[in-house]
Amino acid sequence: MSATEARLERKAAYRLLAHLLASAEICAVEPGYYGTFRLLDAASRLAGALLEAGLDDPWLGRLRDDIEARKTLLMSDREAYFAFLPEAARRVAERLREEEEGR
Amino acid sequence: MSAVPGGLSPVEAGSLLELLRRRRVCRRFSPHPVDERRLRMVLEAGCWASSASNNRIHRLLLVRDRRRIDLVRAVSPGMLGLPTALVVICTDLDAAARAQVRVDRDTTTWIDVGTTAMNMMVEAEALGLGTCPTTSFSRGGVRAVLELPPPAVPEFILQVGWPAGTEPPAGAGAPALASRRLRAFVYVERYGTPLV
Repeated sequence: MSATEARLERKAAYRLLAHLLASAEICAVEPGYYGTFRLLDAASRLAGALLEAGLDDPWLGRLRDDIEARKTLLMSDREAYFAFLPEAARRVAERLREEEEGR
Repeated sequence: MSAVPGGLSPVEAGSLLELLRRRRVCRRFSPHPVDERRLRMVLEAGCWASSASNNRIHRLLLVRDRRRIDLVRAVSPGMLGLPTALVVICTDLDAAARAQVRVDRDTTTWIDVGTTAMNMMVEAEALGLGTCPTTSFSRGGVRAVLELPPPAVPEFILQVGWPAGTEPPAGAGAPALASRRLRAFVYVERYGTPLV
């Protein structure tokens, strides 16, 4: 386990690739706002793949869990769902800044 | 209110209504496989759905192989959970041609997909199973991973399994022999392989 590196196996990477490309295909026919859901779900799958590959990053685990818990708000509480999107992006941005600053 | 000949009693009809009211989409499944007997009941319910002009141009492909389910999931963004079984409703273009159904214009074919799916979801609910309807998938992707022949067009995927957190009951009993309807309209794992 490493806190900074994870080796994603080709099989896992290809599955993510398939998910992204299938999402691109169906986004052409689904309601536009579903595109946000597909990207959010893909982000969760990427985080999950990295964690499964051995990345020791509790922050990423929490982010993935939050996405999993809140992504289906799209079907039940759309306002809360759309409020979560900028929150998730902000959290990653803050994490990136902290990484840059070596924290 | 009393039962009329051929109808359910008001109590039984009320139970059915309650079943319809409480059914919800299931997005988290238990890893326990669903027994053959219950799966056959779900499939049989699908086979008894209404069909425009009784043309029966759809086929049900049951997939239980973990590896194949994972592959379908990879090209099906609408599959959020990990079910232990899939029922893929396919339009069979050969059957459609024999029945002179113009699938490019006849919208009843899609209605039949919906009634088939609903029958299966209601039966599954009655059996305590969870289901999730899936239409968000790459048609070409599903055709490729399931090696569907050209006449088979995947229209709908029903995810089936025990809901997460439930303990499946023991002893489902041996499955009955496949009825004529199941043998005619259900394939197992590979399109063209009938249920026996």
